[in-house]
This record gives sequence, structure tokens and C-alpha cells, in this order.
Amino acid sequence: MKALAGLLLLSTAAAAANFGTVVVTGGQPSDLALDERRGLLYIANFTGNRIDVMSTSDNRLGNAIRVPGQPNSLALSADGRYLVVAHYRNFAPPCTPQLSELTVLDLDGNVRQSVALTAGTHPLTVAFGNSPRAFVVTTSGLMLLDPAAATLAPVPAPPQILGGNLSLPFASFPPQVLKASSTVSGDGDSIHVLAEVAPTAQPKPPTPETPPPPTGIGSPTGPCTVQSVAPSNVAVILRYDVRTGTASGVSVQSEPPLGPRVISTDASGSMVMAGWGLLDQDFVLRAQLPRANGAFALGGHAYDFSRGLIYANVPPPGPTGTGAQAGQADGTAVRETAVLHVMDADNLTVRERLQLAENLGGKSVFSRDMQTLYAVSESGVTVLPVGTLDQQRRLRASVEDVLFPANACDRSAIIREITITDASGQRTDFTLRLPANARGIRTAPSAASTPARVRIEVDPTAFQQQKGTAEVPVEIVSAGAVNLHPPVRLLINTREPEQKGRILNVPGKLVDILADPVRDRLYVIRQDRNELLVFDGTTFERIATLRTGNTPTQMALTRDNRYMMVGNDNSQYANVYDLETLQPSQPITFPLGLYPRSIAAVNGAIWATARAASPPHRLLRIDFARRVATAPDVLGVFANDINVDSVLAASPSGRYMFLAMPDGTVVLYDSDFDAFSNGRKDATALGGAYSVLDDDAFVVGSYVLNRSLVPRARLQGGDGSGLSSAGGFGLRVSSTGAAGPGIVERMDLNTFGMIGPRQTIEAPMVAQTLRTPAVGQIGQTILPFTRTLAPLSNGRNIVVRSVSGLTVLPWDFQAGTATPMVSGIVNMADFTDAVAPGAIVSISGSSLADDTAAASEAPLPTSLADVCLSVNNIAVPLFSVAPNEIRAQLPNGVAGSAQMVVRTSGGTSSAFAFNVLPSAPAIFRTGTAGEESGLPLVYRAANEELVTFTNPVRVNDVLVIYGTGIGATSPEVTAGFAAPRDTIVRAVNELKVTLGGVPVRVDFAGLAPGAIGVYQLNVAIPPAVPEGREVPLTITAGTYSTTINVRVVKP
Amino acid sequence: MNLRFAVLSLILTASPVVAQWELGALGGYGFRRDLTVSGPAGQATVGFRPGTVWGFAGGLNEYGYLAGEARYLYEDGEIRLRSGGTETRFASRAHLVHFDFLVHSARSGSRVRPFLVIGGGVKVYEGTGPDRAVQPLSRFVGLTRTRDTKPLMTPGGGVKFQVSRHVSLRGEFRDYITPRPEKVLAPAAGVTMKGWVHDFVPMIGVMGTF
Repeated sequence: MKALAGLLLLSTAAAAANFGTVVVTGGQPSDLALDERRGLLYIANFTGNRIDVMSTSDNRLGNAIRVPGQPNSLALSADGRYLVVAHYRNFAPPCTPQLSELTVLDLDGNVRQSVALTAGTHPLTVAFGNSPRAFVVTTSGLMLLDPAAATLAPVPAPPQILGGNLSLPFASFPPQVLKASSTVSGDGDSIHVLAEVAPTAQPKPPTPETPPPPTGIGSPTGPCTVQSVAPSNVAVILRYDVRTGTASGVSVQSEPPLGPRVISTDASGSMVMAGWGLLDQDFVLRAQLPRANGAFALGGHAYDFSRGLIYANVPPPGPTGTGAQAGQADGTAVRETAVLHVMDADNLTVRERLQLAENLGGKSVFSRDMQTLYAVSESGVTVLPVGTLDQQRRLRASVEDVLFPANACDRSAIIREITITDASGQRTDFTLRLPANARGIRTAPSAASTPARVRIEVDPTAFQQQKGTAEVPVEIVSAGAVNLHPPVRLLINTREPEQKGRILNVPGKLVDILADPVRDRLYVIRQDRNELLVFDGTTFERIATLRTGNTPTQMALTRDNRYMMVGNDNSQYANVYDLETLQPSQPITFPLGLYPRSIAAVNGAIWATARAASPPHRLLRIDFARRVATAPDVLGVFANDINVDSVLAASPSGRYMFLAMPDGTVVLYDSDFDAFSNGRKDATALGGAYSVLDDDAFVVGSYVLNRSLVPRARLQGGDGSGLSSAGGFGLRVSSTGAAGPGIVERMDLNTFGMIGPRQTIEAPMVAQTLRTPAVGQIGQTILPFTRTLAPLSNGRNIVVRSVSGLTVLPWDFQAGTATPMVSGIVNMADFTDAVAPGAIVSISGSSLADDTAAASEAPLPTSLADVCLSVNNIAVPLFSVAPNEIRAQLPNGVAGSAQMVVRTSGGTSSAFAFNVLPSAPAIFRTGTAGEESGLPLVYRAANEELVTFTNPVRVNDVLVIYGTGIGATSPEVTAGFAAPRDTIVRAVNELKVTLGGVPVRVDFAGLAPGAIGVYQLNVAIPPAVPEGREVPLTITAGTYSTTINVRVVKP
Repeated sequence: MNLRFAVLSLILTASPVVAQWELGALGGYGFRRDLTVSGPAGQATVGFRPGTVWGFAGGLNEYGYLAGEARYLYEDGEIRLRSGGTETRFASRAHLVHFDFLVHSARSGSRVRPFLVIGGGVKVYEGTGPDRAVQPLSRFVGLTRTRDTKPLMTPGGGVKFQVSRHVSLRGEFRDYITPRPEKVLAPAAGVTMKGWVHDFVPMIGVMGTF
């Protein structure tokens, strides 16, 4: 499967149209300034020694402004009069030192002034806020430039900011040597700076008179040597308040360095995206880009505060240039073209990926109306019309996953349909691509224009050896669309009848599951969308979708079961949700550089593991009342130094907290004594399922440990995927392979022997499967420990996190199931034994199913809750199954003598013989009116209400009658499928209708649009019908007829 | 059309050879007695709510003490069905056409003429509410939008005042008795509805004599 995903990613390259227009400038641009008064974009061409001037009306370059060498940054005053250009000439010894300077261009007066900087002071970035003075960041400190007077003044308390030395290796880019970047908030009241500082740098007072460095000015020292562009991993994020003229900031040590060298803010400057981190006004890391690589050569981002979005281009590390080859954290090679990620501005969830012509390279600037983004890119400038994104061609698939539930009754092809549209409403060509090694799958059409319905046909025999669920990605590519659509996942299940459970498809990367012990609910973390999903434990309907921080990894309930806590691997916050209101509560703040992953609540204490930006990784104690986490220096007698992939679990009593590490280390915290009572390492490696079954059974992988953490037993069957306890037994679920069945079994809590293993419908998730690279997201965090088993508090079901999402098992999944037996069949309309092809029928018998289940969507499945049914060896679509009744739709192709067989996990029933009439009309008795029920489904069109004693039939009425068993139709609609809404489907057999013996005109007889197996008759009542309280309404087809009595009133 | 024909027929049939004609209008207010309904679901009452009555009459005095008179009346009102604390209403109306024989205690020409009356005719009940699949208390009676014609008997009495040569006033009290209109008040299956419909109507009228 990983190979499939790799192939998919490789083929994604250059599969879409480019978003935006590249304007090639030559040279290496380093900064931009937008002059909307003149309709011009100024481009600082660092290596070209000029300011390129581009018209924003036609994106054409005009005459460049010749300036002194190395223009690295520029800024335009708010009134559009002054353009300030910084020149960076920090040539290092033994080069001949050169003075840096600022050029002030008076664009109204066509006057140019030069402001020389003192020796050793080199300008890094300049910016104008709501002030006539420009803010200048130099290697010697912060300054304010009065462009009219061409004078500089220092800003108090700047840190020592680094600047890269010249001369550079050839394959270097401006962001690598210019070690600062600035941005102005939307309101112009604050300027933020992201700057690199030396690891030991300390703030120093403003010293305009600072003596030049020892190298001196003009002292020839010999030929230049190539300087390193290696970045420091220490940076400062400064906020300069334009109104007060004061600066504040925070020093950040990061691994990797805080690249790309771009900073962008929202309208008020309260949120700032610096490098790969999104910080709030207190400089707490709200979110960060997963899989950050800290590269400075390329990449960029922009904060679109008008839409609540952040646009980010984050190329993977590797050689510069488009289409760099990169390595994922798990070693999978990924070839990724230049992509613009459109992300939510609160947690950096990737909403959409857009194809760029080339990577961005640092600064960008929005037009005032936020409609256009101009960004430095590899060839010059890329103009991105973000305001018209809604009108850009972008493909949309109607679903993320398509489930193909084959079963033992039905190995014929399974057909599903998906719809491909263009979000802009345009007709856009697209092509569907299957992996090269995919067999038994056909798409029709495989290429079309939007909007299009695509029929996907799967031959289950190509997958039947797997007995689980195979995942096959279908790639949707288009030369016309600008977006890179994630693949649609085909889930092809080929279960055997004895395999337990039913699949509840939940798309996405699900990494944790937890049942609510006091509410009938189930919680699931969807990591790729940064969501906590809440399901009803009875209906399994999703009742809430809660946004988490970036890359949620694991969750835990507080001991009072009131709050849910979620750790996020790329946020300094752990989310908290009030489970009474299902609303977010104040999050838990972790110290800078520590990211919560696994959380456990025991009596009187809540602990969390945290990944540290700079190891060691830590265990932190959460003060839930204050919503802060702190890392103790030591854990009792032990050092607070844990493995980054550690996981926590609390014992059911709440006394113990169990910490397991992949290197085999296990630790126990005893809340009764607030002590880390044990720490051992008896295994060389640990992984897989983990749980605390009771206060003397701590289980991780196959190890069962006592409360001294001494192994007391080994579980048979490997590490497993999920562990839990319910009803006095342990429970374990394990995988036989990603596409195979799962194994669920009970565990004796005294001997730890496994009892009654049963195969499940598909495999539970294991870490290896989860590590398949995410497509559509920037990265992921998969722990080696898994929690996939959730016994629900309602005592009816056990839910397993599995390949297709969730597998729902009956609580008594081991209950001995008797062989099914069929005792009768009646139609579901009038419950007589007259049935016809396509009729909705009720099959009675015993042991027909272990559990009760109902189909939730069309087309109907041919297998439901481990039950399948065939008539004359044709699989029968199922509405619902229950121990004593199955409701189904007979196939179209059966007639005359028929044999019915039911297959369940208990075995195969004896063949039940029955007769299928060509046509056997029957009117449904499912109508209700007030206290009356069981009424025939006959409606008066005049008021669209059921015919009842108080709503009698009248002369000239049109009656609409719903029934089943009318037989063949034209065109034929496959059993189990809903009748089309856009095509009239008529009954083939002639129908006669009388009321009180008087013939009634039949205006329409056929399938009710949108319904499955439901026929509709529209009849017109003539004046000659007799009046009466019980007038017979008779429908006759061939020799078979059915009659109901209705009240007829005249006039 | 049928009603108009019936009125004319009655008047023509009753025309005497020598006559003092009376023609005028009457109005009053009707009070109707409810019917009792019983069935598997319990007991209920159904009937017509009190409402206005108006119409016109024409006739003649003959032989001094006797008179004949034809009359058309229109009744307004609602049907009301009640059981326990539940009540449902349904719009309705009725048309009455009848011929009466009047026996006066004073000769024609007297200023004050008390009289007794007995008459007969038809009453056309009309349910005019909307058809609804769900009607509260329909387990007792289905109130139906339809027409139901029933024979009518009407005893009563009153007094006439001759206020001028050509104008007289009258006050009277009538009981209009009909069988149950079981098309409009359709009893549900298994339900028994008992009694006659009594419509007690005090009326006053102005008559012209010539």
C-alpha cells in the first residue's frame, strides 16, 4: 500500500494548471514594494543591482531604477512619496570591506538621497508603518529613518541581529544571507521582524557611535573567500509598536531553524506567522507547519486576514529548483512540485493545494484590496490572484472514500458512482488515474469534463483472497484545474460471512479513539483535518466536529468526565472541550518549545508527554485549573527525559499512570503518593496496543506487567492494535495485515489467556498502516503505540478504529450463533405472501442475524451486520437485518419458483422455496394520521394528505398510491438502487384500477423517483364512482389483484 | 336552484282562493341540542353551536283563525365535537324550507293574535370545513365536508301584533327537529350516535299584509 501511495505522489507532479503568473526579472529579487498610486510594483533585485519596476495593470516590466549595489530591501512610505532602498554590502574579510547605505527616492520630486551607514552596520530590512519614518533593521540594531531629512535615529534595546557575510556560494538566495525579514500589520500600527541572532546574543543598548569592527574600512586584506550561508537556529521575533516607538520580542531557539525567512501578520498584528510557526500576541506557538524543514533558500507565506487564511509554499529540503526530491520523516521519497497550501489561519489546516509554476522565495505583499498577492519567486515575481480563487478552475470530488462492500453472497461486480465538479462551475477536463498495479477496477468515464458522474466498477474476485479491506487511491488530475485534489480512496471489502462487525466509513487519518464512560458517545481524532469527531453511540451519527490544534495525536478525559483534552504535536496548546456543551474551553498552555502529545488523568494529577524542540523530551504536569503545564526537573528519583514517542495511560481506578516508551522503558506513577514509583526496562522495544486493564495489569504490546512493572505474562499473538476491558474481561484486537481481517478476542484477566478469537470484517489500524504518507497535508505524527478499541458505555457495541474508519462489533461478538432458518416471506406492503421481482419483502425466521442493523444509504448493501441473502444465487439488497426478520428488495431477475438462502456467521440456512409472481401489486400500510397507523399509503393530490375517514375520496380527485410488487419496469433499475429522479421509470405490466367497480384512469404507474423498490400509481377518480364508507379500491395486474376500502363522499 | 324550486312549490301549493297575504322577514338565534356518541373509545358529544338564523316567509290568513305559511331560513354555525377535555370544530351551515299551519286565538284583523304552529319541510346540513387526514376525535365522528338533506318537523308558537294596516310584527319560538345528518356527522365504525337534532329558535319578524 505504501508503494501505491508513493506511485501516486510521483504521478502527482505537474498534474494541474498553474495558479498565478510568473514575471521573470532575471537576477535574484529579495524584496517588494507595491505603489498602488502609480500602479507599480518595485522589486529589489539583490544581485542585479537595480530596482525592477513592474506595471500591476499588465504585469510587464518597465525601465528599471539603477541603484547602488546589492539592493536587498525596500519600503514605500504610506503616502507613496518615498521609496527607501537598503543596500547590503556585508563583505567579510579578507574581502575589501564596503560601506552599506540607504537610498531614499523621492518619487514625487524625482530626487534621490543617499544615507551612509557606519562601518560594520548593514541594513537587513526596511518597513514603513503608520509613520512618516521608516523602520530599519540593521546588523547593529534598529533605527528609524526620516526620509525627508535623510537622517537616522536609533530605537532602544535592540538585540544583536546577524547578517550573513558576502561573498556567497553560487547557489545561494537572498533569504539565506539576509537574516531578517519584516512585515507590517494590516492597520499599519505594528511592524514585526523575524531575525536570526547568534546563539549567545544578548541585547545591547543602542550605540550609534559603536566603533567599527576591527577589520576597518578600506583596509585591503586580500582576495574574497566563499562564506557559509548556514543558518543559526536562534531567532528573535520583534514587534515594533509604531505608535509608541517601542520594540518588544521573544528569542526562539528552534530545531530546525525558523525558515522560510518570512514573517506575516494579521490585520492588528496580534497573530504572526514567523518562519514555520504561527504565534499569538503572547508569542505562544498556536500552530506550526508539520514536517518543517527550516529551509531558507525557498518558500514563503502570506497572511490573508480578510479571508482568515494563510497561503504557504513550503518546499521540502533538497537541491534548489522546482520539483526537489525530498525525504519524508518515515523515509518515503516524495517528489513534490511547487505547491501553495491554502491553510486555515487558526490551526494551519490545509484546505486546498494549488499548483504553482515555481517556488516562492521570501517576501510577498498584498494589494490594498487583498485581491492580489505579489510574491518573490525563483524567477522573479509570481502574481497570485487570490481574490479570484473562487473563479479558478478547481476540481471537487463528491466523496473522500467510496466503500465497496462485497460479501460471500455476491462476488459480482460492485458499482458505485461519484460526482466530479468544478468549484467555479466551469467545464473542466479531468482524468482519473488508478495505480499501475490496480486490478479489477474500472472507471467510466476515466476522462471527462465537469460536472460528471463517474461510475466505478469493482470486481471483488480480484480481491477476495484478502478477506479484509484493500485501499486503492484514485487520483483525479486535470491540466486545466489549478488545484491538486487529494485522491479518492476506494475501500474494497471482501469479507466472509463469519467475519464480525460492520464498517462505518469515516474518511481521513484517524489516530485515536475513546468511548465516553458516562455518555453514549464515541470520540475519534482525525489528524489530517485537525478535528475531534464526536459520534452518537447508538446511531453512530456524527454529532459534532471540534477543531483541534495542529496535528492532534492523543486524547484523554478528565477524571470527572466533564472535559476532553487533546494533545497536538504542532502546537503549544492542548485543546480542552466541555463535553456537556461540546464547545471548546480554555486550552492548556505548554512552555515554549514543548508540544503535548499524550495525556492521562489520574486521581489528583494530569500528566502529558511533550515533544521538545530541543531535547530532552519531557513529562509535564498539568494544572487544569490554571490551564498551564510545567515540566518538573525530575520525576521522583528519575530524570525527566523521555522518548519522544512515549505514551501515557491511566488505570481504571485512577490510581496509576503508566508511561511506555518505544525503547522498552516503562514507568509507573502512583497518584496515592504522588510518586513515580517504578521505572524499568525489561524489553528492548515496545509498540502496538497499550492499556491499563486494572491496578495490577499494565499491558503494552504483548507484555503484561504487574504494579512493580515486572512482566507477569506475555500475550499470545503479538503486539496487537487495541486493548481494553469490559464486562470483567480484557479485550484485544489485532491485525493480520492491512488488507486482511482483524482478530478480536477476550482475555482472561487472571491468566491472560485469549478466549474465543473471532475475525473482524477488516483490520484495525496499526502504526505501520497509519504511517502511509498523508496526501493533501504537509505532515503527520504517528505514534508507535495504538489505541483502537472502544467498548461503548451503552453496553451494546464495541467500536474498533479500522482501515475504513470504524468497525462496529456487537458486544457479545463471541455469542454462539445458531444456523439461520427461514420460515416465510411476505411483501412489506400488505404482508401477504404474494411477491414479485423488485418487491420489498420481509423474511421471517430465526437466527437471521446476530445484531440489528439498517442500511444508511443507497444503493443498498448486499451484506449487513454479517448477514447476506441470496435468491436463486443472486445477492439480495438489504434494508435491515434483525435476529428474526430481514427486510430486503427482491432482485429483478427472479421469477417463478425460487430458492432463498441466508448466510450469517452462524452458517448457511437451508434453501427456502417460494414463488415469485410476475406482478403482485400491494399497497403499503405504513401511513399514520394522528392516532391512526397502518393506513394504506393513498394520498389525495388535492391536499397531499392520506385518504382517511375524515379525508375521503371525492369525485375528480387524483389519488397517489404507493406500493410494491408491480414487477418489471422500463428502463430497468437495478435492485438496491434508488429510482432516478431525472428519468421516468414506468411499469411494464398493465395495471387496472377500479373504485367501487368503476374503472379508474391510471395516469402513471412506475417507480417513485428517488425511492428504492417503491412504486407509485397516479389515478383520476371519475364522477361515476359510488358513494360509501367502505368502497373497494382494487388494483389488478394480470390475474393478481389487491383491494383496500376507502370512503368516498359526494359532492 | 333546487331549493328555490321547492320554496315556490310550497307557496303555490298552499295558495287559497281568498286570502290576506303576508310577506316578510324573520331573524333569530338558534340553540341546538348536542347528540350523544358512544363507542369503543368512550363517549363524546357532537352538535351544532348556537348561531344566527334568518330568512323570509310568506303566507295567508284564511277562515279567520287559520293560516298557512311557507318559509326559508338560513342557519350559520359550527359543528362541535367534544370528549374529555378535547374539542374539535368544523365549519357548517344549514338551509331550512318548510310549510307551516298556524292556528290563531283571535280573528284576522285583531291587533294581537297569539298562535300555535306546526310545520314540516326539509333541512339541508352542509359541512364546509376543510378535509384533513387527521381530525381530533375522529374515532367518534368524522366531520365531513358534504351535504346532507333531512326531513324537518317544526312545532312552535308566538304572537302577532298588527301595528298598522299593512305592517305586523311577530315574535315566535320554534323547535326544528330533524334526524341526525350522518353524512356530515359520520360516526366512526363501531360508534353509536343517539337522538334527534333539536334546534330551538326564538325569532322576531316584520310582515307586510295586503
